[in-house]
Amino acid sequence: MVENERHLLELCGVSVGFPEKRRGLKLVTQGVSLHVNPGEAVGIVGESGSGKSVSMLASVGLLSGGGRIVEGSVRFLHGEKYIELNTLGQKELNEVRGDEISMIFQEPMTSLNPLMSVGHQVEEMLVLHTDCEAGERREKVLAMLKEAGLSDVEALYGKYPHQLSGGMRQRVMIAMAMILRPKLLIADEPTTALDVTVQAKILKLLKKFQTEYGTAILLISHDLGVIKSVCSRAVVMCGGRVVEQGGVENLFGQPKEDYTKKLLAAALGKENVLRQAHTQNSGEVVVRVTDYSVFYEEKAQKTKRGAEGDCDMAAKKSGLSALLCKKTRREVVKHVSFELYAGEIVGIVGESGCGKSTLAKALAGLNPLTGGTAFISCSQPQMVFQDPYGSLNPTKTIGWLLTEPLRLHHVGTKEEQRRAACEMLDKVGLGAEYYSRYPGTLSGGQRQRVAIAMAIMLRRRFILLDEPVSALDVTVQEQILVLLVKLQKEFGLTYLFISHDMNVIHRICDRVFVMYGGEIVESGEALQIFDNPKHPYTKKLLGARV
Amino acid sequence: MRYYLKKIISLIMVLFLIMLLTFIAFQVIPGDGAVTRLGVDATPEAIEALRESLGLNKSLPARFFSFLGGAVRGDFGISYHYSKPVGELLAARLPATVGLAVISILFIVAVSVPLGLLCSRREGGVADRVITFVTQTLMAVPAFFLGIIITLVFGLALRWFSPGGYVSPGEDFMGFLSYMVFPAISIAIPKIAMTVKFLKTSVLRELKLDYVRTARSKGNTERAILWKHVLKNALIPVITFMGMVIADVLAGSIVVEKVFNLPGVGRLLITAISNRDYPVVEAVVVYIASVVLIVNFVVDLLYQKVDPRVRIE
Amino acid sequence: MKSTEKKRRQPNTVNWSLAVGIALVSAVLLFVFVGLFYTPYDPMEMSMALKNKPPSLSHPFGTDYMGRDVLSRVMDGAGTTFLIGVVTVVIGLVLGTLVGAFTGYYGGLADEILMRLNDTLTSFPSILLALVFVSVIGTGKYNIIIALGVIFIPSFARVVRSEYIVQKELDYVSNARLLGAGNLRIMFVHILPNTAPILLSSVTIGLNNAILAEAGMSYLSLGVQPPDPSLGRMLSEAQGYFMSAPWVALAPGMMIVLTVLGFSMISENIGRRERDFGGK
Repeated sequence: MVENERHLLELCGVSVGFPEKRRGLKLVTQGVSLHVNPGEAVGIVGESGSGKSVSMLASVGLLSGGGRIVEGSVRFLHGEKYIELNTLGQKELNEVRGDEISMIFQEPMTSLNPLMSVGHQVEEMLVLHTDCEAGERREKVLAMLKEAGLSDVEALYGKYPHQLSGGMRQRVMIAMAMILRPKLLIADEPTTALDVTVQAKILKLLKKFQTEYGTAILLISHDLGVIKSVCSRAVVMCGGRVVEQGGVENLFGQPKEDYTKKLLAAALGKENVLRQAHTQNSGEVVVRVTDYSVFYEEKAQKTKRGAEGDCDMAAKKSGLSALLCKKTRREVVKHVSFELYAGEIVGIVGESGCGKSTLAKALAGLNPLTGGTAFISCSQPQMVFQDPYGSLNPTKTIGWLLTEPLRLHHVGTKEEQRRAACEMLDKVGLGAEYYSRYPGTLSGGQRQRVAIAMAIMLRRRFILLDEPVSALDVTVQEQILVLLVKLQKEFGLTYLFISHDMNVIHRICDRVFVMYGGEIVESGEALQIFDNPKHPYTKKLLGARV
Repeated sequence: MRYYLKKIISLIMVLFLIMLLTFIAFQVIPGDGAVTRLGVDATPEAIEALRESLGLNKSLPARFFSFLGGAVRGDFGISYHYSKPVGELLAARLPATVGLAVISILFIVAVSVPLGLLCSRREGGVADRVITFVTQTLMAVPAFFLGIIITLVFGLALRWFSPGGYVSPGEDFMGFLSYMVFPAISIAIPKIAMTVKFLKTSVLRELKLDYVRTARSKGNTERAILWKHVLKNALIPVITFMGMVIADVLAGSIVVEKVFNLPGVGRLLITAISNRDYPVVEAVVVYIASVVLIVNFVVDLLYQKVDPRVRIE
Repeated sequence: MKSTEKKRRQPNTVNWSLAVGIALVSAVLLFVFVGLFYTPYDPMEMSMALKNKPPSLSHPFGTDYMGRDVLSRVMDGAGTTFLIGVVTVVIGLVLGTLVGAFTGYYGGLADEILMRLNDTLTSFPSILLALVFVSVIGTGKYNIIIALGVIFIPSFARVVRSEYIVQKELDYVSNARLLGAGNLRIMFVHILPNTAPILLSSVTIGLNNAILAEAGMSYLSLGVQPPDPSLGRMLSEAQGYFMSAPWVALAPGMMIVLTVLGFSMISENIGRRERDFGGK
């Protein structure tokens, strides 16, 4: 009990409910209990829908849509006494928010007010919680921005969020959250929207503030690597309940619960490669790409970094002048050459904007602006896309979608087409009963299975997979990867697997190309690249991993 | 600066196009202006003489440029029906229409902004539900029917004004205003309903966005969030919407002028169309088109001013 | 507790107003449909004895200045108004969808120019454009249909185009292309059904605009010409006898209000559903 007194934040049996359409409440978390000690970094891990964000947002009264705590208590150490956050009046709560508990969120773009300069948004904290004079406030804001690792802060002060890059925006958010030196910082997926290398820097910054100012951090993330690099203790959540908690070393070293083990297995590709025996290449070339470049055509406007949206809007608004814009070509993929052999799974890894997806779309023939040559041994390769919600036409049934390629190529009679579709549904683990359902009634994983089935319907040997599991939860990812490997064997397919996720690539690919700035900077056998990276960029990517 | 120059040039180009289209449209109509004016019984000589003096014998491009040149100077020729310069006719009718439009817009802004904010602050409350119901119903009432009802209730039953009356602003400004109030109300009410609804949806949409959550997490009160963060964001789409409303007010005044028997530009247009008095129709069309385009131009400029995302350095 | 109630009430309100909207529109449709085959009196039959009689059992909406039965005339006039509304919306919908689909799907210079023109045209109130049109091609039932139909093309085209611009970038379209579907098949088999919700809501709004525009023009005596009846013309005729027979104006006026109200309640709820779906 004595030790309990020292907790900074304490959640005791917290259940959060949302009002249901009919009547009553839908509980999204049940009996969540956890605590944070002063100055400690605690992580909450879980997949989407596990209730990790909801329970924290509810604790500080920030849930929208009528969600609220229906059971349990949230206690926060305020001075010498504990206050109950869930029963606190609005006025008192406002005093604690920002001043003692501050937050940063996942999407730094939408989390900042688009019409207020970033300087003013940081300054607002001082206006709300201190009696500083205007001049002093400005000084403090500038100093804080500098501390958050931003340069040229005088100019930055008057800029608007859309003029900054994602990483800079998140630094602004952090500066805003830290300017009053709060006792607790709640970070809700703070790096999920950012590139791997930027991620690492932001996490370092958080760590720095924790040690320097003794701010406790509650880090919510689905990414074990992120949690591991910042936190000393972690809480695993699933289905609205706490599954397991403990020190990071212990928890991830010797997980007790099945769920934690599953999470770990999926996250740590190294110890869990799906394709052990990589059949040495058959020598049969499926794809040969030489000196291949891909271009994008865009309206000629002074495109400044981070200001693309700007020009877009301006072009739309400036009337007739939009007609007079010249188009320029931008080289997105620069002179790449490689070969793929039959039966291989080859990964392309890189950060967003490196040109990997562009390359895949161009190989599929979706972008006609290319240079160099690409030889593909089968006609029209098929593709599986990242977003399972966008890649299936919501107005058609699954059966219609699967038979459409057969209709288009006049394969078989109606009855045969139907049978083929049902067979394929079986193969991807869905079953014929899905034939007449609409995509809207399927989960993300199920949709991705349908998308894979569509890609195989025409029995093309070469399939491009563009981030096929990135939009899915870790455990679903696992199932889809297993399915992909199974189908590859069964149909003798060759995959070009594109991903930003080193772990996924590690688990499934035989060979890997690392792309950076439109070029392939390193290529080789997967094992060799992961164990012994040569290029500094590859090292950086691997270093950002768990 | 270059941006504004470009905008002004494109504005002028569109105006030019509209004049060209209007001119062509009224050239393809069968019928002869001179005959319309003199009547079918006129002697061929008289018609020929009039054609000469009206410039109807010149080639099409030549006539267009003389029309254009005249239009720039405010000279749209002579009305076939009234035998008076069109510019003069238009000038005489402007006060009623402009007065009506200005008063309507004032009503719209003054009433709908507070109502819209009230609704969005108490979403689902009694006031919101009553206002939502009333606005939805009022939006369905065409301005002229509203005008008829207002005449019936306030003019004929309550005798607060005498229907069909009018004094020019030069004669008695206060009297002019008092004759404008009820017509302006009938134009404004449906538009107020639309604006309230639009503003409300806009505010509610903003309130759901992430930056509002950030503002809450900083310890802002709900009031401060509405005024400091949400309002400006919510007003951006309303600016464009108001541009449309102003155009609609102009159109509404055409019909309402007939209901209240006001000597405005709308009535002039209607009589001119019925009488096939094309110089007058052309002039009124060009006039209304210019107003609509200039309003849109101003809306664009305001947009630039308010939203840093579309601002051009 | 307060927030819970609030949330719970909302869906009920939605269904309730949709139900009222559908009820209103079906009542009006029924009324118009019956009017096609049966009216209590001949809407043209005049009778000096029955001049400007207030509503009674034999004439529920009274009689007008020529002693004609107002109820019969409203039934007949609403039919004309409806016919004009439906035909113009169909013209606008079909041609607008074609224009919008091609410009949105292909883009390019033609699209830019057409859309500039479109933006300029739609910034003018439709009744104004219709007046200009009518002053060129003349008045009457069919001219009104042509004028309004053409005027509605841009607004439908705009909606369809922006939908196509969004949809064509979605992966399902790329997927269809990879599977071997041609452009026309993608445009009209794959994408078109996805524009249905937004088109449905545009159609109801379009019907409202058409009905209001027709009424306004006929009221100005520049729309439907005698002997064709229409709600706007009835209002125009009634105005002269306002003091003695206000009911003659109220009946057609209320008819317009109820129709427009019904359609707007429906479109409102379709729109809201669409938004909810999109938010998901």
